[in-house]
Amino acid sequence: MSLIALIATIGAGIGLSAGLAFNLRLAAVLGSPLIATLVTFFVGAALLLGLWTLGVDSARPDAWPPLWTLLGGVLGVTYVTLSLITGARLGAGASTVAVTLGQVLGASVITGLGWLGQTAQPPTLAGLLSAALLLGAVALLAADRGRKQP
Amino acid sequence: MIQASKRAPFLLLAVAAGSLLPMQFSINSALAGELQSVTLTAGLSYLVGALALGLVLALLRVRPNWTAAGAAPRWVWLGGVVGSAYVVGSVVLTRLLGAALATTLVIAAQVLTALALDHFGALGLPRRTMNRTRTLAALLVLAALGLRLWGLR
Repeated sequence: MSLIALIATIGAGIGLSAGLAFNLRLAAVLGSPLIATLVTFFVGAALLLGLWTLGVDSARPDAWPPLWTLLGGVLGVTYVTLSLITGARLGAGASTVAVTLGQVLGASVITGLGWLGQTAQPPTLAGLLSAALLLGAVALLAADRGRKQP
Repeated sequence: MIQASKRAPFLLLAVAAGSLLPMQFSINSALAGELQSVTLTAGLSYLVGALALGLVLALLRVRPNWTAAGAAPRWVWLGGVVGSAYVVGSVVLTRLLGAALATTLVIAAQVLTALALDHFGALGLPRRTMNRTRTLAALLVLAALGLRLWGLR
């Protein structure tokens, strides 16, 4: 794995886990997890578009991209909203495990069939086993988080 | 706790919600291919998401509690800064490795970070130190990574 991939993995993992913790605190303060998400998305947009304006990875595209490629953020907020609903009904643990199952299944299908601009790669045995182990890890963490503190 | 029969639709909904994430990885990656800039891609993705959510919240007339928010520590507002690392990282990974491997790597890094944040009780989370269950979870993640990166040989 290249150094860029390693840094991107660490950045994404820390960003996601720490981002959730920030969002929990902000949601408690604002009295609404969706308003907290809205703030988070605007802060993220301002930071990234600011960096782009200042010249970080600042390619200027000369054509408008196809409309469907702009909808990633809409899926992001739909995900946050749905996971809040299912988390409230199922408990955080069961909801997290089911979401992770959806993540690995969705990733296998999209990559397997080459949807949404992905290069088609059939799933491998090692890849499926790896997904099962990850689900196990997420389930163990969820079970341990759900246990009463001594 | 609600009955099993009433839980099933919500379990399906949670699985569907999870499948949106690799779709988002792929769509953002396609956008990055068009724009040739990761910062512009992630920034636009956030902006479109924020506008969509803002519209829905305005229609639902959701009102935040700004007074209490003013008294909170300043750092609670910076979730979008660490969130940006997630969006940029996921775009870069998906461009390099494809959605399947990118998803595996992000879940693995997420679990390991969650274990570390819990262990130190960082960012206002309740402190939960490493125990046998958590060590096993970390080992499963490492095994999953090993399998993904080096396969069955």
